[in-house]
Amino acid sequence: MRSKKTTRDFGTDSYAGPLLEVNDVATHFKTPRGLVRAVDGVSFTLERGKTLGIVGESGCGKSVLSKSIMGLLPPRNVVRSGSIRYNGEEIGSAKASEMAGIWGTEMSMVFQDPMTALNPVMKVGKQITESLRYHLDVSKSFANETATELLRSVGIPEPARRVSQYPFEFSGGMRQRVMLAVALACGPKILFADEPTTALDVTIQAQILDLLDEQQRERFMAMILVTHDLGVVAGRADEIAVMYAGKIVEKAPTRALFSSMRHPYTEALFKSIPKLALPSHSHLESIPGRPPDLVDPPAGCRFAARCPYAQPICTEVEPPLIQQDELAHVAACHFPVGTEAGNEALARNKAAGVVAADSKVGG
Amino acid sequence: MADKVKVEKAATKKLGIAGVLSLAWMTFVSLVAFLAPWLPFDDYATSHLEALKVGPFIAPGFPLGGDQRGVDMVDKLVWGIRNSMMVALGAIALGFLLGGTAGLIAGYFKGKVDTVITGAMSMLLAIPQLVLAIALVAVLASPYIGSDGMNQFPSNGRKMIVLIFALGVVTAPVVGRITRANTLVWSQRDFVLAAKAQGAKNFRIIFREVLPNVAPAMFSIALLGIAVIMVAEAGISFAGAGLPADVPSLGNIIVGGQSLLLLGTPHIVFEPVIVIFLTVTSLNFLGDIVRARFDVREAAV
Amino acid sequence: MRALARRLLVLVVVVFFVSLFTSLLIDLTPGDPAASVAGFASEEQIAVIRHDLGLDQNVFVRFGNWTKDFASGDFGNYYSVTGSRPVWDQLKPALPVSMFMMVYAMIITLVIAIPLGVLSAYKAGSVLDRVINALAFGAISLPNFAFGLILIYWVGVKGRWLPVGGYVSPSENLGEHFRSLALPSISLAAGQVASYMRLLRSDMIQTLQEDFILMAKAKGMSARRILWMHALKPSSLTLLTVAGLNIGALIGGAVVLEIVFTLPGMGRLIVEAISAKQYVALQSSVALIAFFYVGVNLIVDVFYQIVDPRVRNG
Ligand SMILES: Nc1ncnc2c1ncn2[C@@H]1O[C@H](COP(=O)(O)OP(=O)(O)OP(=O)(O)O)[C@@H](O)[C@H]1O
Ligand SMILES: [Mg+2]
Repeated sequence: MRSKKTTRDFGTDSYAGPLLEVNDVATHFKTPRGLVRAVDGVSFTLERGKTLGIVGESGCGKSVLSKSIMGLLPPRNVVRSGSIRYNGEEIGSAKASEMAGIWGTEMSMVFQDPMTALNPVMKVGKQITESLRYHLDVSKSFANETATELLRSVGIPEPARRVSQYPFEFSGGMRQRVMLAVALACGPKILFADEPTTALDVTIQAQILDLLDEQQRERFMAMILVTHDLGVVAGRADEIAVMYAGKIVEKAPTRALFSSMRHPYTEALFKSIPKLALPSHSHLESIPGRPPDLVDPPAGCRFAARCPYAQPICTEVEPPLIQQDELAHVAACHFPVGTEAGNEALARNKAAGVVAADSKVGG
Repeated sequence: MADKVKVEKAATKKLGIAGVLSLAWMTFVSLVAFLAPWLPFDDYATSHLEALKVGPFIAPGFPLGGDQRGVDMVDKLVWGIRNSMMVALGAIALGFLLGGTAGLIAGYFKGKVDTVITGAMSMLLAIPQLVLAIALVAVLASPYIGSDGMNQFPSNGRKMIVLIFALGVVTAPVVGRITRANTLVWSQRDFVLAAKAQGAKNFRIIFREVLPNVAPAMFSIALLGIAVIMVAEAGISFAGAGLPADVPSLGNIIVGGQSLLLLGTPHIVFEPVIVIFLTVTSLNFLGDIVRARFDVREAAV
Repeated sequence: MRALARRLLVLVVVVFFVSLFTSLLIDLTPGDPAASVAGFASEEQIAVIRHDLGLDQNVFVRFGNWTKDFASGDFGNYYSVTGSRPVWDQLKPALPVSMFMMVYAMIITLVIAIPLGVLSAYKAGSVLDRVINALAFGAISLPNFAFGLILIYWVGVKGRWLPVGGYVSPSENLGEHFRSLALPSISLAAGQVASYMRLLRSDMIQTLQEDFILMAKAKGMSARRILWMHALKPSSLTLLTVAGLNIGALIGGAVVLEIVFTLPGMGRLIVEAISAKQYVALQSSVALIAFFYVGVNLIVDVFYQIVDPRVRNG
């Protein structure tokens, strides 16, 4: 299963289906408090060279989902179910030894915090060459040249000198570039970028995102871009999945999502995007309340307690993911935003002076 | 990152079987040590011919056998435990008196006082502790030629006091360092600063606010310290600087039994070794439990 | 490098006070030190010795002379009925014995403790890990002389596989040399193995939860490579710290084990000096050990700087 391919050799597999098919994947953690349903039935597909944005608040299971797909979670106390097919091959229950042929060469990952995700006591050049030498059987000098080349391509000045430096000698943005170089070294077909810019300041964020874009296009690589900021994926993802409390609540091609978002949670996220056009002190609507406990999630729609559209049925019956006006646009809501039912529900709540199902129960 | 798991959440919150056993053993040993004079044990000088070099469970009435002079090992061990415990407790008390005080003062007042005290402690720590203790005992409690030209032998009492003193002195800097580190942390806490702001006297603050909080750490160190000192006492006995043979200690019983061990009669050596092992294990275990319970960080600074 | 300079300064001060302390050790003896040192001698001889020891001069002159002598390799004399001999004559053959024993113990320690620590960290929580930990806990609680005595009885006396005493120098017979130091080195290593292993384990468990370990895994590195190349090196700082902390215990253990195994090393020398009341020899040996201890600690510090690139360049 371990493939020996060069960095420039991509997209030659004969399998014609989608690159990645994720079907009803659930990942639960056994903890002393009980079973944490961090990911609870997620499905999507990812085509070659495309970008899927996964958006949601902190703690909704984005990282667990990416790690689960890559099979990076430690086996102990983790219950995984569902099917993950990569290039048509089932990897949902693959052991670490079986995943070894996929990690690095087929799928790779960029982490949130460049401060902690690079080995502090290993030269950055070595961190790149080690996977080249391990996977691709290349000579030392070739690996070194490739490392320098990679660093140059991710925009690191003086790469020949920088290869022999340690991570602490790089700034945050530069480290994120290094990490990208490390992740790209063996030419993966899918890159998981888990909040690659959250730890960076705003001006650098855009640079890194553009770099990701550029590398992705050059390499015809698919990408799963994880973020809690709808703004980050707005211009970059082909498709966006909105996650809430371990489930996808809405999924649509990017344009469709922004033009006709259906789920109240998506709407709430949208309202919380910082808009550069507005004066910096303008009011941002943050979403009131907190996500539910994943050990004992509430019945019905998990967002109901914070939802301005919520009606009694929302706390009783879980809404299924159903297709909206456009093909490939699905949302799980009894009273979708912008529909007649949704408007009525919102008006009813406004009239009654309640903001969410929660407050109705309470008072 | 949020998705990191705490692999080891202190599983030692409760005593557990090992904890109970440790506590039981320490209670037993302490009772034996303190009550020895009032318990029906023979003098450790009484020889019994029928117990001469006899192994355990052989001669009736001598469950642990007898030593090379026919002394009942039970008697010998009882007095050995008592003397070793006296040395260990005395030394740890001295070590805490010196080191604890120094550590509290250094950690609380900081600045120059701290520099001087910390410096003094590093000096003491610059000689391996066992070697330092051996040297101290050797020079302080050795026979010497008096002004009358006669050999003067230090009394057994003096020897024990010197031993306690030496072990206490080498314990002090270790205790001092840990106390200082903990004091540094606690004396930065709001309630201490508040007490200071209200004009409370320094010594009052040290005793009322800082000491009670540093105490758990010191307690767990004391438990480990007793264990270390008991082992050190044996080490000093090996070096020929320990208590004299007519004052049995766990250490000198072992040293005395060594030649018989080579001849194939091991119980004189192994019985005190087992006592030391069980005691050290128990103290280590209880120390860990105390540390886990109070979440003591040793190198707090 | 600034940190290293400060360390060196501290070192000088420490060495000064240790010298002062050990050179004055003899003043702590009760009675007349000269008479005690030469219990056999006549009045005149004692007077000579008193002068020899500088006891007729004030403390500072004596300290100065002691330092000068010590620095120039004159460690004083060993007084006996047959006359006085330089202490160095005894130190010289004793030093290698202690050194060999400690070096072998260190090698055994590292060779066993590192793989065990890595393994039990990797398998943290498993049965194997628990067994290793229980053994380590026991080994820490078993004083090294106790372990030595157990080995003497079972391996030496009962099994007759290895010698239980005496020393053979490597130039004499290399095989016998190793055999003569096998049991003492193992006894000395046992407790060290446990403490290195335990600290390495807890450090590695933390390291293994770091993002960069997951990153290495996501790069497709094998578990073995991750453990040895990625996780161990950051933890080696801990190993060095343990080494620094444990040297004192190592030396103390060596002293005792030399006596247990009747090896003619520094420990044995100290015992003989004590029983023959040779305070000059005692004080020279103690000073030598103290300097060795301080020196090794300095080396550990330097290594610390080398291993950690952040400290090295920062
Ligand atoms: N190993 C684990 N054991 C138990 N619970 C876990 C574990 N890892 C994650 N969780 C829980 O799963 C939930 C989802 O975590 P996840 O890290 O995927 O969130 P996220 O969406 O990536 O958030 P963030 O934006 O903060 O990174 C959280 O409630 C978290 O506490
Ligand atoms: Mg995350």
